[in-house]
Amino acid sequence: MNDLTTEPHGNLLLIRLSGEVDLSWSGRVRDAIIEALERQSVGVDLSAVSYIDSSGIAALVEGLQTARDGERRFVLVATSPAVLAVLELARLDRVFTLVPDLAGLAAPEAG
Amino acid sequence: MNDTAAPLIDVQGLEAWYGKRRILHDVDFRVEAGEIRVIMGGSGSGKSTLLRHLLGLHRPARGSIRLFGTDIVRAGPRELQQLRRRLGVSFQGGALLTSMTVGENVALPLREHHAELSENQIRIMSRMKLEVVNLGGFHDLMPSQLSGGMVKRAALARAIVMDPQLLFFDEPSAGLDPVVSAELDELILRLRDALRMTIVVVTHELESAFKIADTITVLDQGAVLMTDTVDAVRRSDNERIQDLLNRRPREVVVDTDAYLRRLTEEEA
Repeated sequence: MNDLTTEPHGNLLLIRLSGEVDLSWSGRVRDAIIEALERQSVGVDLSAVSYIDSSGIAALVEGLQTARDGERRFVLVATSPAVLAVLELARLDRVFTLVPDLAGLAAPEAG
Repeated sequence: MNDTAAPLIDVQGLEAWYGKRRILHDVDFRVEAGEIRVIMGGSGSGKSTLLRHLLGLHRPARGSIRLFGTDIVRAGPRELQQLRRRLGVSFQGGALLTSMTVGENVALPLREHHAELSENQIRIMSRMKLEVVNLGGFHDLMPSQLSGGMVKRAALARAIVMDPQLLFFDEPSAGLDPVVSAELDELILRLRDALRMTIVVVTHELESAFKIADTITVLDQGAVLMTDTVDAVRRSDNERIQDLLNRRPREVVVDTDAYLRRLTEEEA
């Protein structure tokens, strides 16, 4: 099922996505990410995402862009193999901060 | 739509003519979702003609062509428009618009089909696809400033910009140096795996065909000789297939009467 839920995690807001993130609702994902970044840093949990298209990836890129402009953290958490394959295709796995789990989220940002 | 059960491409009994010359006859061609199918054959085997029919650029003289379950010969403009959103095509010559930058060329399908996208989304999505084909940062160049291999890759970026479920790729390696050609083969495999594309590649390059194909359709003189796995095609004892694999020139059969008619008849 396509779904988006949020929960606070330390000083970040964790946005959990599930299902297939595609053009039919990636606009909603984008808005949720951008809105949250206006107030705080954001982690996006992608462990339950079975497919993501370019518009979904674009939503994440816009998130990263917004976070940088606002000096917030923007972290991808527990990226599923399906999402990782798409990120790697465009070498975006080297652009985003990826952490394997929520424990990694709490750790101070490397670099 | 019933995408998973029915084959993505289902061609039955296709027949095509150019003037009095029959180019395809009784062609059955089915491709399942997630498959990489290579259409192989020598020059004049009918592979480009088959591709043009699959794209709806030619109407068949006989037979049916279904893509995603839709009969493209009988479909109305609205249905065809819906269908086109799910297709990507990378033409042999690239077919980039020379008056637009590379970036604008790649963004074109998004502008045409997805008015709901913002400029920022369009920029990110199209430039991301340029990164995918190793043309990151080349968006401001004009097509005339690109090499042949770069044009081909830019055309591929445009073909995949809408994440098509079905991608057609005409002669990916023709005219490319071996390294770029091998990179494209690798990319085709990754596109299928990461973006779940079903991919139909027309090629006469054996090495590339064997590397990327799940299944191969061998065309010869307008008919399907065989559709099977790479191994089965390689092991086939069909003489014409072995000729193709071993690059043996084919024997030209001369029908004296037909030959004379071709040379002499006004209406031939």
